[in-house]
Amino acid sequence: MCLPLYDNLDCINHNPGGKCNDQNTHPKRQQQGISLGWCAMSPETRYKRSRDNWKQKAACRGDTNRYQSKELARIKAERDRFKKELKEIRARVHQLESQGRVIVVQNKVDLIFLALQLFVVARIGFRAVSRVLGIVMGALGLKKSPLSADHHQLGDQALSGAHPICPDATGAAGDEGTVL
Amino acid sequence: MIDMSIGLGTGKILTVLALNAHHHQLSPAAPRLQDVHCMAVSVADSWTGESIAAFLERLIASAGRPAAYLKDGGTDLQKAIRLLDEQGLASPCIDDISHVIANLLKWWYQDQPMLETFLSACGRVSGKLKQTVLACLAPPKVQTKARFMNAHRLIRWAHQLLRLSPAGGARKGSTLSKLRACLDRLPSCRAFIKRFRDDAVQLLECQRVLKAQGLSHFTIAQCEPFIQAIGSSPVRREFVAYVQNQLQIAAKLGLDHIGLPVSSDQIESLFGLGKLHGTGEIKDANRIALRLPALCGTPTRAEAEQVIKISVAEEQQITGRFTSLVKQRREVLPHPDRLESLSTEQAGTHLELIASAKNRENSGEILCLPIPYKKTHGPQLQCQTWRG
Repeated sequence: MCLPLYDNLDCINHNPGGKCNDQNTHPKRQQQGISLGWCAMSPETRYKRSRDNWKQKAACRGDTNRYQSKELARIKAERDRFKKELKEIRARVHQLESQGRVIVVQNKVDLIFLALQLFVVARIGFRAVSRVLGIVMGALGLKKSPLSADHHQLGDQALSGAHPICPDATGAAGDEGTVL
Repeated sequence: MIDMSIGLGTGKILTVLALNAHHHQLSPAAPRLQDVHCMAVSVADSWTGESIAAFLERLIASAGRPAAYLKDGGTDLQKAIRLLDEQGLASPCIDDISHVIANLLKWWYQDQPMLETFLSACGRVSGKLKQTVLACLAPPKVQTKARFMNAHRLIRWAHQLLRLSPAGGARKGSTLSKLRACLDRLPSCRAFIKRFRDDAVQLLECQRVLKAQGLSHFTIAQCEPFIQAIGSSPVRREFVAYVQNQLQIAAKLGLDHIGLPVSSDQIESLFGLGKLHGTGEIKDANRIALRLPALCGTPTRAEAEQVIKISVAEEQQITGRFTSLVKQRREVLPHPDRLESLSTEQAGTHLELIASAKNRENSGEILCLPIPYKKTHGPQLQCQTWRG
């Protein structure tokens, strides 16, 4: 790192003629009880010293700049990496969410298991199970409604007194006054 | 856990449930319907001690011997267990605490003349209150069958109602005077109500503790203050005798420090649920019995897979074998000439389901429930025999 150079620089700036008198002493040195005393430098020395000071300052500035530009590059790279990761994670979350929303019931066993739970745990009736599944079919990713037209027919037949499974059963359809 | 229930028709349902004897070690809560396995369901025209014993023998041969039998106070069940003991299939017999307490109260209070006065007063008060501004004070509904199972509700109501009418005069036309006009002979039963309440409240507190935590040395110590506070000494003495007897059984089973299950509430609630849920308007005994196993435990994916393996036609073929009141009603009501067929068909088939255990070599061994307790489980029932 660069060294403090202000002692000599002050001397040069405040004494352009190259002569220092007793009054032109550095205040810090005065505070410390040290006197620079009288100095007289040749122009060549003055230029050399000025150049050396400039070189030291430039080297110091260069070091700082190089360090800062390196850090900047590192931070930018990190930022880009984090941005990319965030983008990927967001995409993955979205994908998982969309999967979770749609692919709940993947096969028939899942559907039967759900229906069993609705009947045994939630304790809703058989016909209510199919009604509930019909309502939530979109959220469950069901393509075919469990509340099919056949179901309605079966329900209607059962209510009208016809045999719910075999419409041709003896004494089932077409009889007046049949009640369940 | 063994119990019987009735539905519509000639059939009586006998059900056997299995509960892990170490339930109170495995779970902090009282046993629920999800914690029991249905081991067997059978419907028959009548059940005697002999027929129950024969049925239990078949079940033991198939699934193993239980560590103990938990039952209500039915004499036919007692006889069946005695017959099994004679055949060397003995297991200790635990009595359900709710039935014991109800029977104790019945034994002590049934013959007391004030009981009739109190019950008739409750009926009249109910009639006077129901269509008035005081309708909210009407008594709770208590069925006449197994009256002493719920008599405490009526007593608690009467006690609270009498507290609304303190001693002293009431202004004419005030709500208090209207209430007093409805009380009938209830104030004269005040001493009876207090006596019954002193017994019932303490017994019910003991019941609450023992049902939730099982019967053990620790829970008996918890119940001790309530037992001491029971007003009638014969009731207290009989209850202590019951507790000591059950504690001996618990010690025999190694459960006296864990907690012996003493409540058959699960089987009672199973019957209640079976009659309400999924059976339709006609509470056919066979139809109820067919659904009982599914209502125990928690459904599993394995059971869902079993559903796929059976077709609708096969299922209809199986269920079509036994008598169906719905089918009979559908066939007979519109055809008067078919009335006679009812008596011939009535001697038809009844349902019987018995759980089977795979690779069981020794049929006399104590039944161990194979599935870990905390995991979801469900009965694996197979239709074994169809009685004709």
